[in-house]
Amino acid sequence: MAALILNLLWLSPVAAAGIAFTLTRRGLLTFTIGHGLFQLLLWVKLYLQREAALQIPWSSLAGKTFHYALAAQPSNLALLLLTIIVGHLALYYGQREVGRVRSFSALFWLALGFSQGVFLAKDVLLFFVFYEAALVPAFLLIYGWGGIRRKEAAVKFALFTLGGSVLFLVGMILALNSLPDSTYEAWASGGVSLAAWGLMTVGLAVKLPLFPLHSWLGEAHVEAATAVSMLLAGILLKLGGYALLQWVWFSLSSDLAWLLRIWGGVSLAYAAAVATGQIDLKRLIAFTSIAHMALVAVGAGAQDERGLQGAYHQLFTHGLISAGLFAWVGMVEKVLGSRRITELRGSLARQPFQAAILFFGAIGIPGSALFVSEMMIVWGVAAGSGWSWALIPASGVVLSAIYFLRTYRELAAPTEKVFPPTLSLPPYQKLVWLLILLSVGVGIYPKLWLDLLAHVGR
Amino acid sequence: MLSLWSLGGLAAICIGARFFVREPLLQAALEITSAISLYTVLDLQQAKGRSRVPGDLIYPIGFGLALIGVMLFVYAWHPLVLFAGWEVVSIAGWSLIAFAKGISRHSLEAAFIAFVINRIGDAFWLAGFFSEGKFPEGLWIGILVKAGIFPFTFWLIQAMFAPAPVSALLHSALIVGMAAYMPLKYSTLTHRLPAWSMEVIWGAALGAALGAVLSRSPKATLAWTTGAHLAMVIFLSLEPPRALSYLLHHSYLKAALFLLLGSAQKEGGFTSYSTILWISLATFLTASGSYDKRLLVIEALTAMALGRAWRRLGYQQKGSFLSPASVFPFILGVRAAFLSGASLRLSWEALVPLLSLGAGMLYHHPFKLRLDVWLLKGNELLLSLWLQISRLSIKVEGLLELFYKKLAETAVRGGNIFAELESYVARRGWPFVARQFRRGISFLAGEGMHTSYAQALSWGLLVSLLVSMLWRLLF
Repeated sequence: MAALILNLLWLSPVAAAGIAFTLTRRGLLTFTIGHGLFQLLLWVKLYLQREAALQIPWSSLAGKTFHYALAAQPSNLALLLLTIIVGHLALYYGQREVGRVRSFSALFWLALGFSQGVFLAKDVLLFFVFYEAALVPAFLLIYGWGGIRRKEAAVKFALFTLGGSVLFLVGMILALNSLPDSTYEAWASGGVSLAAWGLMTVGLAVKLPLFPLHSWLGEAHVEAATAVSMLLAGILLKLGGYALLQWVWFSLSSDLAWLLRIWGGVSLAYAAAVATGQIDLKRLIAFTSIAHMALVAVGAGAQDERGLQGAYHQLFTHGLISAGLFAWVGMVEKVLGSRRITELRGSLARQPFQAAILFFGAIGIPGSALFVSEMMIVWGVAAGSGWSWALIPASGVVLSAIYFLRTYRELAAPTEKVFPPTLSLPPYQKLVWLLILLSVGVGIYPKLWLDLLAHVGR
Repeated sequence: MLSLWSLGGLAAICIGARFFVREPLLQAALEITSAISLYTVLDLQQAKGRSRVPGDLIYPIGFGLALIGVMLFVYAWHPLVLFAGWEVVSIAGWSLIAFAKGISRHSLEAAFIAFVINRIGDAFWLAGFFSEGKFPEGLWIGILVKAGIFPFTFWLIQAMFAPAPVSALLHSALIVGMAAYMPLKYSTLTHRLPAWSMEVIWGAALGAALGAVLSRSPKATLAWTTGAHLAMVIFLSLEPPRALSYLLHHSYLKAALFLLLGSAQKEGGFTSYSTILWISLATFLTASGSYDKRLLVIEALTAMALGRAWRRLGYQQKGSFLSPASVFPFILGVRAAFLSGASLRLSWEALVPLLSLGAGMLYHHPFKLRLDVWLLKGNELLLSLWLQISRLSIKVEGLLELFYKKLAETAVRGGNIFAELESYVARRGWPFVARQFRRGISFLAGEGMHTSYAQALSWGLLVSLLVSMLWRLLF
């Protein structure tokens, strides 16, 4: 049973991608909801039994055996849920607005299936296969749907990610040379040489992304369709972060952790600075997600289990809120026809609440999901590396308040310009509220999720 | 209508819950909130008929949030909950400042400054809090910022943009009072400050009191005095019981003064009733610290400032003798009297604040110095520095994009060079090699250029035959 569920989690989206070609738009909408609920059921079953694993020898090469090994463990359960919920919500709302809906849905489902594979894989080679496979549908989704310069953006995205993958591959092969096989157990117990460690970190930092390697993200988010932006920010960025935590920085006793903390800190400050001066709303939110993901890197380098747990939790919580932010921007663009802050001045003056709640959720106030994860990271860094290091993630608390509230002030202060009486657009409005609600739920009762992560780093 | 009912409900809940609470700060917060909510109900009823975005519902939401914050703070069962309470109160402050007087650029700006300055303090607070006693200074920075102690007072003065009930809430036990309460409640976390730092705090109190005397608008004056009084609470924090009673005393009376000032501003001046109430509340507030010479200096200055605030608004003969909205200041004052009645001692020194209050009311000194404007300039400077950094990093972002573009172009160009080389070889290279080969063969064939292909071929055949024969022979 467990084996069936694990396989279905990534195979059923792939199968759905095939089925998508036979359905009409209306049929697709129904099927998306049904499929989402089906996956949710699978997830609940897994959640109830907490751990499930499956391992089949796949092939041998140079005396090493590679396994088809999938596992659900407490640390990836939350991310599996994130993929199911955010993925299907984004797909549902994408299906309502894009053209060429069949191929769009098929590619979206492929991306979802391979992302689930990344989260499930317990063999580093299998992980890499899924990681690479998820790139292809994501590339095609950016390439096919979105703004005018989407093709360049897609090519840039693909080149950057492939470059990162090459580095990761080389590092992985270096690391595998000294290991008996490629399963997680062998990987976690054996030492990884310094060169392999560095190569893999840099490779994954492209996808996370960290400062000089983030160049693809701004364009990809800005040019992609709303649903694809949600997929990118909500799920695909998490692949890099999850890989960093699961396959590279799982150990607390690394000599180079300070390097990652500094890199994360620089990335955080830089992304916040760029976000402060943005005039394009979507680009601003893209840079805020860089800032939030930089905290994952800082948490990974905390050298304390609380920091590591906070980083895992940050992947989950940021997935919820960033998808909500992109859906909101999509709505604003659809209703008002622009994303430029200079043209949107005063647009929120008549309905200021939803945006205020959303922005405060992204700032990470108590009661929102991000609060818990960010505080865990600060706590972990303070406990593992000393209080002066804790000022790095704590500065994120100030910077996010600056850029979000400045933007809010620009949008909400009344002007003479006349805007349509209501900003709300039924499907988007509900989507945004749903994601806010989820984020608040996770924030008010975080114990459920933190209990899942309790073993991480111990 | 909904907002009025929910405010009334909030007041009822506060009054009811007050009897089940033993925590002194929460008690005070509940009582003050109930008085402020009822005052707001009357206030809003008078202003009926206007339509505002986002509506008066922000009052119950903001008041409730502030109460929840205080509750989480005093009953914290987990370190994160402690910080959550600390933060929720800032958010209540933000939403009330931003929305309570209707949404405008000014209100959003004030709320922005208040929230961001608080968050800067919070960043240090967090580092100090999680350092497990290695960095108590961080906690103290957070406390000083949130309590609005002198150099950080400017966010409080900006926040005076909000209507009177909100200011009362900000300056009472709920928002800034909670910060001053932290060293009393969690003294194991904050440690004790070294002796010299107490001198600094006293200096801060003096600075705030001077600011109060020199400031222009009556509300700003009240805000400055809060800075002075809370600094005194922290100054007294070496003796927790005394500091606590001083803090609670201040919370009730400051809320009462703000409500009174609000109703006086609405009516265009103080009536005889509210003048008497103002004098007694102000004396009562400032006389409570008269047992210590160093506190007495500050109390005298703040009393003078309060007298000056009265003079600014002026006295008016007309007006109702007893406006409904000024009942609640009276109730709060009586409550404060009950609270501190036991510890109150009459002494001759208590006359000093009374006299300086009178001096402030009678004599209008011409000095005007808006210290808060300077402080705001400093804040603006910091912000513009960050904007400068932001501009710079956007430039860096452009350069980075250009770099990657050039990198890609270089790669493409490199590929093109290879492709051109390849096609050159295909076009020119092979014919050249073939020509050379032919020339070589024709050279072997003898007379050079005149030989035909057939001849060359036959010669070639002959040579290869010879070679193979030689091969067979030798090996």
